[in-house]
Amino acid sequence: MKTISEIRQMLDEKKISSVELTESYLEKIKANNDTLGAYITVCEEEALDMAKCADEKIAKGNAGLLTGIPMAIKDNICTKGIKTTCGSKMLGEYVPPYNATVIEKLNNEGVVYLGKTSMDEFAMGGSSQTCYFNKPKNPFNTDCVPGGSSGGSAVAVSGGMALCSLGSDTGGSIRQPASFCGITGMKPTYGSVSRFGLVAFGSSLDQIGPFANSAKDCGIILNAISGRDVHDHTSRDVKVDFTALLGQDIKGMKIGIPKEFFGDGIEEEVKNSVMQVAKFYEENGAELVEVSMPTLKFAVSAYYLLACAEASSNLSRYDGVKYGYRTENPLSYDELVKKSRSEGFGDEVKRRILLGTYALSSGYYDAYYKKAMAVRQQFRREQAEIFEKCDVMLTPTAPTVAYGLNENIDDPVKMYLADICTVTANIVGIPAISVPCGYDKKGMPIGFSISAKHFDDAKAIQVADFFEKQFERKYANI
Amino acid sequence: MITKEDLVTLCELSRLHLSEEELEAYGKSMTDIMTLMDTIGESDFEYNLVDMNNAVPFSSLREDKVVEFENMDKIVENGPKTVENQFIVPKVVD
Repeated sequence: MKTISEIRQMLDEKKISSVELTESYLEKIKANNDTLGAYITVCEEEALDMAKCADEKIAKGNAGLLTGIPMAIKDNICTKGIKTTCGSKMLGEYVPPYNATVIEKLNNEGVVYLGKTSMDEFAMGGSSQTCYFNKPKNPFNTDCVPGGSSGGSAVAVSGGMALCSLGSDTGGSIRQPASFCGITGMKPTYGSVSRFGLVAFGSSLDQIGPFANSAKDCGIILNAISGRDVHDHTSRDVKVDFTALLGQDIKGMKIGIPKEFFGDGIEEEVKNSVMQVAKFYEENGAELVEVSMPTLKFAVSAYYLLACAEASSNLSRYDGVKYGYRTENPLSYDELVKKSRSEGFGDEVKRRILLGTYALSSGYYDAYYKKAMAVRQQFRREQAEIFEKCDVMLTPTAPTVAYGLNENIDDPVKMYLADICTVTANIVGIPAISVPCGYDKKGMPIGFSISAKHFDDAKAIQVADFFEKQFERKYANI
Repeated sequence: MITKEDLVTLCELSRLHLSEEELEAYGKSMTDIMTLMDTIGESDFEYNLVDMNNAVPFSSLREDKVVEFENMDKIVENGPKTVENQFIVPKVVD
């Protein structure tokens, strides 16, 4: 698998054109999408048009780092004139009349969109199997899930059907599928990338980020899509050069190892593999510092209470009137709304709306929502203390490797608990990057995460890149 | 425990309809989930409203002015039932 920088060089040296490159990816999609289910919509015609424009830009010497680079886009990011289904029957026919800010920014760069990728419905899930359309499979073993919710975006890159892709991460939805599919994926600091045009799930947690074949590639993409946007008042005017620290030594760097992330519930092979990463950093001059996050035991509860509460509010907009699915022949306005929502949403989405409504309802608000907000504040305090002592923190990305397609689907509690390693970065809003670091006995990928304090994304990328350079990555046999 | 009555009320608040069969299945799964959520009651942290407000960048809100959207037809095209730029709904007032 090549990186963006390698392909950039080939494009600039005219060893390949963007049209040829795009055609080769479209061929791979045609050959493998039925098996792997990465894409809901393939934009063949649009992609070739964009590639032609990119080639003209390159010929004129106006190419940027991403000009002509084929990318896949998660299907909850609005693309003008191209269906954006969010993996749901509710938005099955929705064609956005505008572009998300990240798409506008990538258009300016001359990126080529190959298509829109499959995902858990409304980004609610960790397996991508709640998608109403095609359900993606893990390229390392098609009997296993690719993770979620951005499973299609991870599969597209891991399965060689895109050079890179965009996903969204509300509780680990980029990092966990990156780990399951053996690639790199990053959730940047909350507020560094505009959420305008991202279909809302949990607005205080959602963040768009990249999947790629290296940490450096993630940094290149983030440099293009980040920045203040007047359409998203939570986006921050903080200048971050995500690739600024690449290649710098890690000697003397303090790497926090939070002991709670290595306890029961984390598979031995995962634990051992991540501890090997810690050893590698130590051998290369970093100092390992044992730190503690005692509040971790409340992380999953706090995350699901907050995310479901926000989802129940955000998804109230789907009423069968202005856009989205509408039931046939309703007899009243009330019936129109209730039946449209009940027929348009899948089980997991309805369950989370109901849970969120419960947490926000009279008599339960203080016990659930307010308590979860108090825990969120405590996490902020604990992580601030950790980052006073350490530069970055090292943890497993997920407690297990990718599991079987039919495992856990009837056990939402088990599915929710599997998010234990990723949700705190969303609760606090810090950046975190997942990088492949090993393979279990059956050859399934294992990933570790590096997180840093707010807007210290470049440091997380630097540390991830330092490991990647010596790691012998395996690729899916597609 | 989430009772059937709780669920019926939640469905009304959420504008959802569940069949008898679904009420039973959702009741069971949501009770299991709320048992997990209840562990948050063991935490003894107090919510500080002032801390949260400091995190919101109110100073950088954009100017409150009308901006014409150039693609109005395409907005209406997404309406499942429309006539001449109007969204059609069942009669609400007799």
